[in-house]
Amino acid sequence: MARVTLTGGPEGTRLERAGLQHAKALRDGFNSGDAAASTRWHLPRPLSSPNPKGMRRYAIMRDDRLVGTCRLWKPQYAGLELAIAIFDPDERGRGTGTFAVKKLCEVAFVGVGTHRVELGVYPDNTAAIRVYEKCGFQREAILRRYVHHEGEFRDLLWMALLRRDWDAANGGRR
Amino acid sequence: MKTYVELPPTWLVGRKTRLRALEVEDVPFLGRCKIVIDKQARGFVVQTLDGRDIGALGVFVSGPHAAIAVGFVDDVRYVDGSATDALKVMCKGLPRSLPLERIEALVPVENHRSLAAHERAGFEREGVLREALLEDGRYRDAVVFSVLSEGIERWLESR
Repeated sequence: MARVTLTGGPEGTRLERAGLQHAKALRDGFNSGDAAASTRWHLPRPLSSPNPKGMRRYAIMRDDRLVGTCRLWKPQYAGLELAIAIFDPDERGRGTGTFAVKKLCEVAFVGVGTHRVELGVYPDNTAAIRVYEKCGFQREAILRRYVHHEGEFRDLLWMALLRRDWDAANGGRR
Repeated sequence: MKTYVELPPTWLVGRKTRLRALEVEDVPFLGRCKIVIDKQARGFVVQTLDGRDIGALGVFVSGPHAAIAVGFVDDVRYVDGSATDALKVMCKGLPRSLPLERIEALVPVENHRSLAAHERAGFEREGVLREALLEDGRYRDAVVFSVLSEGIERWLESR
């Protein structure tokens, strides 16, 4: 498996495999900020396959502080699903999310070797959509009433990045 | 192909097709239906009203969502209304016992007859998922269709 470096984000941000040492900070993060308002936990399970290889969680760290979390997980349709949350509103707009999404894609395509990374985002979350589009994700579908969130069913914008697009944008397979 | 003297019991009966439970001896037949039914999904065999097996249907339910897929031995079944009818029978049957919000279906983009059958059945097109369906060892683009609870209720009232 090719090695992917997880450091080198803006202002020294880096990714770290999430472990028990991050559990408390993760809990506090999801409970304090407004990340929970745009982060969904429950989706229906896919028709496809058992657990794919390459599922992993990361903590987004700056110095010794946890600023967010992201993961590659079992997909709804195919490939791997990406999810990210940045807890502190002050941390937004500084490139941290873009860095984490790009790193995750690199892990998925170079490290794991999947053919597709997909994700769902609330259609009104324009900041997040801009980040995903900057990383090469394309809008695929509006899945109507796909998630149950705070008492109502909500639509989800489904986006995906294919391996061939990622290869083209990153100068071929490394 | 299995022919019954006596029709197997089912309450999933439509205008052109009936759905019976999948049995172990149907496995070779499934292979000819151009459909993969996941272990976690429920499988049904689509029959004509006089009991000839013509295709298969799979349903996967997870909480308020369900996914559905049909496949037939003969592509003519997409055109003659059997596919539409089988989809409708299942989509009307499911919410009788389950509080469903959404039923979805993925159809390969090249399969125009199947696409049309889903549209006739009342599914709405939501978008194209690229390289999302694994078929014969390669990934194909799939149109994602869905029908929501209001759509299901409208069907239930219509008949």
